[in-house]
Amino acid sequence: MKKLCLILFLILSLYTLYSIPPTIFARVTPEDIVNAKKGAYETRVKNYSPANQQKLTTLASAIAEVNKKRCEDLEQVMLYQAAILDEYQGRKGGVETEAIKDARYWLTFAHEAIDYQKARIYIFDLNGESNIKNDANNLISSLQTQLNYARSTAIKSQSFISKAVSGGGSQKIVDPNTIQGGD
Amino acid sequence: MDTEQNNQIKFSLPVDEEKIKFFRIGAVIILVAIIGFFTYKIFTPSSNSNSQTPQTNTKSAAKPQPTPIPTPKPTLPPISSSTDLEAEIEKATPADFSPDYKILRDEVSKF
Repeated sequence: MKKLCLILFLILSLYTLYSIPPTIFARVTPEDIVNAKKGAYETRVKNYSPANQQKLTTLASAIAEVNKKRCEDLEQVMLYQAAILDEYQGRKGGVETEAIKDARYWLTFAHEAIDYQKARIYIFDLNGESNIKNDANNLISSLQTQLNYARSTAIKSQSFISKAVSGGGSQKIVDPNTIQGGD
Repeated sequence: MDTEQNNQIKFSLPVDEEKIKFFRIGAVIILVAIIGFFTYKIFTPSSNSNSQTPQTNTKSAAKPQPTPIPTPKPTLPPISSSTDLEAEIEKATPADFSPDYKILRDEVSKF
């Protein structure tokens, strides 16, 4: 009887070991979030009519195109701002004044914000075919908010460089969180 | 007579004991098979592993899209030692993006 119990215990242990999936201790990366969103989108969009599926595909491409193009434009602006600041610092004998330091801080901040925006992937959060317009507009609003935030950082950087170049005094470094629109 | 009976008991197993022996051998064979099966399953890499991220690139959205016409990038004048920096920094203003959002929303209104 004891042997039978032991055998049953062994079988149950092996079954438990095999059937329970191993716990994976890994942090959730942005890629995981995007993959989860893509998965949800692909599952839901299958139930939509082919015409609406095509509309969503076309709009997603247009949104991605706008984001890419506008971010590239912003990158060009940032490179130009950087060239101006470098030239100004060169004219000052390479000395980094407080104003130049502040301007460079915002230049770097804006550049990083734009890079981050460029890497964003926009995926519809679908809530039923009858809500297709709302879902599409929500995604456009999301793009608008985030792209405008990236643009506002470029404008902020420009204003600091402008003050530095025009010989303005040092500006107090502003907390990045005070800029509206970021997340 | 008693001695003969004792010998019979000693050298021939009763039917029940034979059955039990048969059952035990069977149980051992089944147990070995089960252990072998689980060992094989555990140590063989499965293509349908739970740790993999779901494959999302399906062919549902594979319709060819018209390639967008490349727009020329804004070219800004080079900066030199004679450049008026105050004037140039004013030019480094990002364009207004509102027309793009309007185009996208117009697209949605056609849904």
